Amino acid sequence: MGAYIVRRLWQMIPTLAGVVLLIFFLFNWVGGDPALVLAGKITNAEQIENIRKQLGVDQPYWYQLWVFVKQIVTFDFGRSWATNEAVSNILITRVGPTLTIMIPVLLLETMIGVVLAIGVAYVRGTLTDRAIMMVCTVAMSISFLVYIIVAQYIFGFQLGWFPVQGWSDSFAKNIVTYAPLPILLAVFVGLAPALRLYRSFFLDEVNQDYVRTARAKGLGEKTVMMKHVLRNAMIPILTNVGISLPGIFVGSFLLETFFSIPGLGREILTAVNRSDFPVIKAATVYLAVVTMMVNLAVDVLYKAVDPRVVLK
Amino acid sequence: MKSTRSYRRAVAYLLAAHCFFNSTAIFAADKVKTSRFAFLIAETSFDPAKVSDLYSNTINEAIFDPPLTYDFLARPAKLIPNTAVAMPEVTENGKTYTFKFKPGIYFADDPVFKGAKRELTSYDYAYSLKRFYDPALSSPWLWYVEGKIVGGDEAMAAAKKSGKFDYDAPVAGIETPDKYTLRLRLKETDYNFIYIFGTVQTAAVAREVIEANAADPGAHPVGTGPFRLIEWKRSHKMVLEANPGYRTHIYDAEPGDNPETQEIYRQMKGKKLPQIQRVEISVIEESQPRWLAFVNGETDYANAPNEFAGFAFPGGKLAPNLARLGMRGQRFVEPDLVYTYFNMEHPVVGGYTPEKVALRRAIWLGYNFNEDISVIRNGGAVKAESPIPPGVAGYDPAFRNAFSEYNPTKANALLDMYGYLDRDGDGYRENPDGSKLVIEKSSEPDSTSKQFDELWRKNMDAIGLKMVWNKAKWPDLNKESRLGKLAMWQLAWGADYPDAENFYQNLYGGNIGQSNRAKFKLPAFDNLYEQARQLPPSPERNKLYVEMARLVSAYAPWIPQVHRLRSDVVQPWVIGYMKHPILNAPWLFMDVDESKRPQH
Repeated sequence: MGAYIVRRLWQMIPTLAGVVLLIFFLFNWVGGDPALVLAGKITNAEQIENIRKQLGVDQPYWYQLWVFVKQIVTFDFGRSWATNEAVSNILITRVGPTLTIMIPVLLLETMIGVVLAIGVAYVRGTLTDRAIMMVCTVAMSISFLVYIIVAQYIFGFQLGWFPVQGWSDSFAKNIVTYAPLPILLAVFVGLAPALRLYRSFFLDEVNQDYVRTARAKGLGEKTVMMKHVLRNAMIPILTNVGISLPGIFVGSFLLETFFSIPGLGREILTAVNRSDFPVIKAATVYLAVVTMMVNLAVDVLYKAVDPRVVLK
Repeated sequence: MKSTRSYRRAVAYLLAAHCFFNSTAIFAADKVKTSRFAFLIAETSFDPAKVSDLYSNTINEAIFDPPLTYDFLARPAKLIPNTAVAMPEVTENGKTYTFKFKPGIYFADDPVFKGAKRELTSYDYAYSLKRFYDPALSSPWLWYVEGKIVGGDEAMAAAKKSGKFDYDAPVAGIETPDKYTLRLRLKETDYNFIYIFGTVQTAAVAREVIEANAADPGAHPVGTGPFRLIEWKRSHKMVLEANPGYRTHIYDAEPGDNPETQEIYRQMKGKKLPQIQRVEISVIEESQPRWLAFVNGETDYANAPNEFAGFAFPGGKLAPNLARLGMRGQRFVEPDLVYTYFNMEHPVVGGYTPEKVALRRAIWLGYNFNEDISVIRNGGAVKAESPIPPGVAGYDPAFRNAFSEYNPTKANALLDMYGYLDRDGDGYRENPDGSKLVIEKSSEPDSTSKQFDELWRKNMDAIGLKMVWNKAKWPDLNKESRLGKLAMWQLAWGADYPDAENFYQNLYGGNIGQSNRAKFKLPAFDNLYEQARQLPPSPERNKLYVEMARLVSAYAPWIPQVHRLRSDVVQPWVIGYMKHPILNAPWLFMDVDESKRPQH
């Protein structure tokens, strides 16, 4: 196990190098000139050149790339070009609100999705099953933005059940007052595809020989579903959760902008609009590292869920 | 059964907590006179010489003091002394400006001052002006002073050479004969130079505060203004508190004969400022939550977003449902201009020859301004006749532009006359020499721009001009525009100060490579511009400005499209609020009646 983890960590280096090269060249070839963004309404070529010099974007590409690599190695991405705030502070202070929303979303979505999926798989082929699948298909066809706009108007403004927007310094107040509507919305929207997917995982297992054997042994349907089917279906479910797990660390920029949540998703969007490269590259590297670490953790977890899995 | 009970109990606790947290917030916050407002874009930081965004500057206006300010109610906007005793003495034909400052004005307390009261002096203003020249700061406001103050450019050049700006070295044109006097000497006559002293960028900062916070001075704003920053959650929330050491300032203004400004004057006259003790500003980027938060009473006033302006002001009047809630509506034309510029050096649309001028005039005549305003802007703008908006010195309400009418027939006739004919029968005209005529217009890839693109396409098709689009994000177009690579692009310009010169400098030949995106270089226009700079504000100077408008009209380097309407709605508990055409922070001049604020 130890050797496996070390090998996987070693393999992350070329992946990260690919990410670094991609973000670096995308920014330099496709991105806007940050000096023009910072120069203000009226400027001249000399002033723009001076700003470029200060930002270091006048240096040869190889040198800028070297600085980027040094920043990754030292975990020091400097300061935002737009606000002068330390990039590390941006990541640290914005990730809290993002996780406050996204962790409950992932937990609720997974738990509710699994419970409903096993229920639907149990009544497969019935009118209930077909009706739920139809509702899921319709729900998936509507844009997340529409859900947000409508729910914010109805539940926040018209009914007053939740605040229209806002965020406070208190975790308790956030989780009780400001987070519920965005969380419920994200869970509702995420539930339909999760339910359809998890149902298919359960159906795959229900038709397996071991299930027939279990029934033949006289086990009750509840035991068959909860003990045998659920455990085996958890492997693809865990894979799916693992794929979506890195997303919780960057959040949903739609939710964060519509509900004024000072999270990482909103910050990254703002940084892109401002051509704020230090923030963009730090966030991208952070996301790449988180994704790779989560993938590793999920692979290790397979072993715990299914003892047949051998880590090589 | 047990789990059901636990579930119910958990829900009950959650509901109780929900009610508790909501109610305490409202009761706790209303103990002091508080004004709440929402920004639509996040601030960046609060160094007056460094930041260039509207939102950071709005906060800075509440914290810092420039030498001059504007009378809050006088229209058109009128400069008045702020920390200066009187308006500066302008001598030597507008080449020397002498300010005398009021004694007894102090910076807000800060640990840097070590418990002592720190008085505002002319040295602080001199230091603040020198900061524009500091290459390390790369101030976006360098253009205020570059090439103007004697010795300033030389000091900047020396700093570039040595790598450090020497703030102790004298700059010949920035003199401080005593602690309350600042004398500025200019290289050339410039009667508009006075306007920069009404902007927050020229506000005084204390050198010791800047140096003590050298890594990030914008995170530590300390000024002499009416408020101080007590809480800052970057990109999310700012809280200002009335500065306890603020000088005695009694409300006074020139309300003119407008009943609305007279009513505000009656309500506020004689009050000690500021009346507001706390200002809370949130960042709400999306229009819907910002507008709903306002209608819910969570903010005190709002500029109705474009999407909601039609609901808020149907037919130009405040909607009855909002009026029933006691809200007040305020609409006025912003001192800004939305225009489309032509690159005068572009082979297709540029040039000064009669057929090129005719092509640009035909495009102007063929664009349907009425549809632009009524359909895309929801009535939130008025048609522009010249580059100069109402309320700005040099604006002539009688001026009418021959090409700003929507007249496709005239446009077609003009194109026919100059040989732009459809020779190959494909429905589109060719150049007079028979070559293909394709006009490239640049625009951003957002939904609003797409609506404008469709209108342009429809209008240009109607006069047989083939238009294609160069779609890119704003920063990329901005880069290409500065490099002179765009043929046509729509931009907007908001007044930095209420004088036509602030708009016309974008067409002055000497500013090609800087603010003159159209690369318009017409000796007659440049002569008028230079003559106007030699004159103090006067009817003679305004005549020159009208002449310049005629030349813009004749050569059509710009299509002045619209001046945007600001549609403000104000809650019933707010007193004294009115959006000033130039100032952005109203909190010093307003009050709130907390007893009228609803307890949610």
